[in-house]
Amino acid sequence: MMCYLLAGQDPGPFEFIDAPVERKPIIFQAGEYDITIHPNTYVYCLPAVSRFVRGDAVGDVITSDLIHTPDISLLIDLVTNGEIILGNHNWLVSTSCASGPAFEGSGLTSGMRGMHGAIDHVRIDPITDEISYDVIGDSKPRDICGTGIIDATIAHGCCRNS
Amino acid sequence: MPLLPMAAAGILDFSGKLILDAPGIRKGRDGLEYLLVPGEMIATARDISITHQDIAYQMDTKAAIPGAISVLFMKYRVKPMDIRHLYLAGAI
Repeated sequence: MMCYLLAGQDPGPFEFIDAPVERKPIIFQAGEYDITIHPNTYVYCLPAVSRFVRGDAVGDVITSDLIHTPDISLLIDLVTNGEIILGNHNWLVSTSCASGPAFEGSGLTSGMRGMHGAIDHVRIDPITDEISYDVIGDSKPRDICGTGIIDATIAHGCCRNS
Repeated sequence: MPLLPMAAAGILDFSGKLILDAPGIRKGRDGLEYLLVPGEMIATARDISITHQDIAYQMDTKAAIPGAISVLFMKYRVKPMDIRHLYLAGAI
């Protein structure tokens, strides 16, 4: 979808379930869109597979060994929507799920991305009820990231030694 | 005594709900929430809390992933033991 926005094409039709998906890459020269590299450089946006399995999933497959081995592999890409790819060097199938950006901290009441100032580790003293937390960059906390929420709400205290 | 995550410390119940009488739990604008860092301690002056909606959101997210995997496994008759390699990708 971002490739469409970058290339100035309208992603609006993908709102509809029966929107046709053209499995072709978007290719243009950097100079056409004022990208600050050599203007004649070709920019290649990876093609989409379906409405919700798009260039990022294709990039995952290319960079993994999934398509080079006869063994069956499972690839899970958790971003704003989750993409699941199953297969080997002969066949590949994929689906997507509405995983939402919760793991990226978006949509949470006090959420932020896992960057400087994000709480990424939470533990509680069961005797004093005192809360201890770690902050990325060892600075004052700004908000909590997805890792912090997962760590705080994990069923068993096995993530890290406290 | 080791430091514990919320569930083991008695702040979350087994179904992922915040326990009203547990220490640190208060009633917020959208229901129960667990206050992690009071606003007066940080520069933004805004409380950092984990709400019951945050936890429900995270549980939905976690549930969606095995759901999608199961769809592929059932449709293509693949068993978990058939998987030889697992790749994980995503942002932080």
